[in-house]
Amino acid sequence: MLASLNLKRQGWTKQIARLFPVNNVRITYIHSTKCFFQRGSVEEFMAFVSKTIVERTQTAARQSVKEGEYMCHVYVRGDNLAGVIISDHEYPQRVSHTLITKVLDEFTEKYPSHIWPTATEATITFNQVKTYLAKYQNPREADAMTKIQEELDETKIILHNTIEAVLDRGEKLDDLVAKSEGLSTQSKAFYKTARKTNSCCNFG
Amino acid sequence: MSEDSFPAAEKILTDIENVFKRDKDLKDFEILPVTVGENKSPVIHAEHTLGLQQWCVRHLYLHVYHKLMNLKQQQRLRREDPVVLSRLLLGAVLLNPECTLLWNIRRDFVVMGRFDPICELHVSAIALSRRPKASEAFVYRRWVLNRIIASPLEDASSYHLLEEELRVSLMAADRYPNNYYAWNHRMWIMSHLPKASEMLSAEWTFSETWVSRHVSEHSGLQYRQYLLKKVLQHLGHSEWCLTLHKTLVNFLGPLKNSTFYGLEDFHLSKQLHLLITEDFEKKEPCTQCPIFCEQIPFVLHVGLLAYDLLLVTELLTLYPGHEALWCHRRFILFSLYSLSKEVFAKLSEDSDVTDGIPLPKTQKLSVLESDFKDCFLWRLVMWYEEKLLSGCAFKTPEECYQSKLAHRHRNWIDNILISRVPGASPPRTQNE
Repeated sequence: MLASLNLKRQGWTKQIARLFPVNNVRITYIHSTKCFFQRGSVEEFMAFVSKTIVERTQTAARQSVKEGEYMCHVYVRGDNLAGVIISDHEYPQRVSHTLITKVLDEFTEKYPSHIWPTATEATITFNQVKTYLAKYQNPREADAMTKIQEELDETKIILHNTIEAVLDRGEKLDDLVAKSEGLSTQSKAFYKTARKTNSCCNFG
Repeated sequence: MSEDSFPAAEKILTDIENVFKRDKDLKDFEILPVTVGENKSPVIHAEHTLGLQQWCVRHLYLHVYHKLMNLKQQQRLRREDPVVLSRLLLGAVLLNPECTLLWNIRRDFVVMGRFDPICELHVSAIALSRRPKASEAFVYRRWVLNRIIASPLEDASSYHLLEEELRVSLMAADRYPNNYYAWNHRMWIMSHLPKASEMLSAEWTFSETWVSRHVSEHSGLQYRQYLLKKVLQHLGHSEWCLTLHKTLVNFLGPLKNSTFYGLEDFHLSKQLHLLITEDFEKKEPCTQCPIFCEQIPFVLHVGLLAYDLLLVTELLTLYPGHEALWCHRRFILFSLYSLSKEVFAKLSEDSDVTDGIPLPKTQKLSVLESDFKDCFLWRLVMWYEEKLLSGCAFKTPEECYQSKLAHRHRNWIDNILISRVPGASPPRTQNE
């Protein structure tokens, strides 16, 4: 299952990593079935995690990070355009990374790098992501899978077992969450409870 | 003591009950992470979902539980006001569907005719939406269903019942990975509910999609194995023949390969080979059935097993490192093994009859044993195994685990499967 696909661009300084719009696609798959009331929080949280990880990935590197029941796959290209996919543990890692590469290429084709500095969420629409997410839910049906696996460039995928391993020294996820402006109070409460019960939807 | 400790309890319970009364299509129950109670009702209802704020859960459950226990101890359950009681029971099973006692009280009332069985199905489905692994709720559903199907049903309502059960078990399986209870319940549905046998082929297709998206779920694959056994029992000409034709052409393709030359020398093998392959390639699929399922014995069985063998091969290469898939493969191999044996025995019986003089039993057995290893079907299956295993070299950590699993699989074939085939175990060189 693929849950989310975000496109981002790493800024020149780490603080201004920007989220390109991927209109409402992020959450479509996971939470159409569960966590009705928390859907918004989960969505915010996924955006937050994506942003955090992208900011801490070096240029021209691939990472896959385990976090609870999810895997976050990140690829930051040489020109600092980055893509994040959130999937479950079963989803083949190689396929995720191939998909990111593919989407980033298409994105650049549509919006070449010189318009990035001025682009805002409103000026960019990239609906192909939706189609890809739907198609790649089942890698068997996605096109020419076996070939795709070979095509993946030689950039090594770095594996991390927790999100903490990606953070800079001295940073803690709990602090980042508390400080974050992108998360609403409700989402922060959601995060706390989820942390405590170690699952996202079964409270109480 | 407990009765007045949480005065808002009855109000909250009434709110919950009202949501149930208002919304017949209610689907979900959730507890929301709101830890501080504001001075308003913690019950929220939107888009067929019922939400309860977390702060009241503990107090509410204590209230309900103590009240019910007191009533039970004083044996006043039956004399209590039914309206109050049903409210208490509703809150109790929603908050703790794992408690058998609560379901038992409900059972009592169903037997007395005070609770409607259809409503009971609804309540237990909502309880399962929050705790998809509550086995007591599933057991209770089966108990209620048994009561419902004990009396004859109209066709429409049996279909409705079946659909709803399939929906609930799928919902539970979706929400909790490896939910054995949900799949077990689904198996029960397929073997007990009326009209379930009509759903077999639809279920077969459904489970293919499910397993190819949940490759490490033993329970989902086990359900597929259950379906396979069930389908094999009820085989006949169907719309499946066309799909199976494609599968068989694929599956038998490697037979043209040079490895298999010389097999036709063996009498029995030749017969079977002719039966299947030649018929297949010459005639166009224009007659009533593309695979001549009525003329060729076992062709449907071979086709179905081949279908899954090819499916699991594809999944194994796509998703390296999932033991569940290897286990499923062993199941298919073993079924193919039994099938090959059966086909072979049948053919040798037939050939005895054509010769006119039946062979003495001992001789027949030895012929059977020595020829079995050369049965082309078996040789073909082993060729597939060899191909798969030799392709499992490792590159990434995922694949390293895959090669470990492949090694185990080879051991299993060599030590368990092959040793069952008398005289069919040529000394094998171990790769690792």
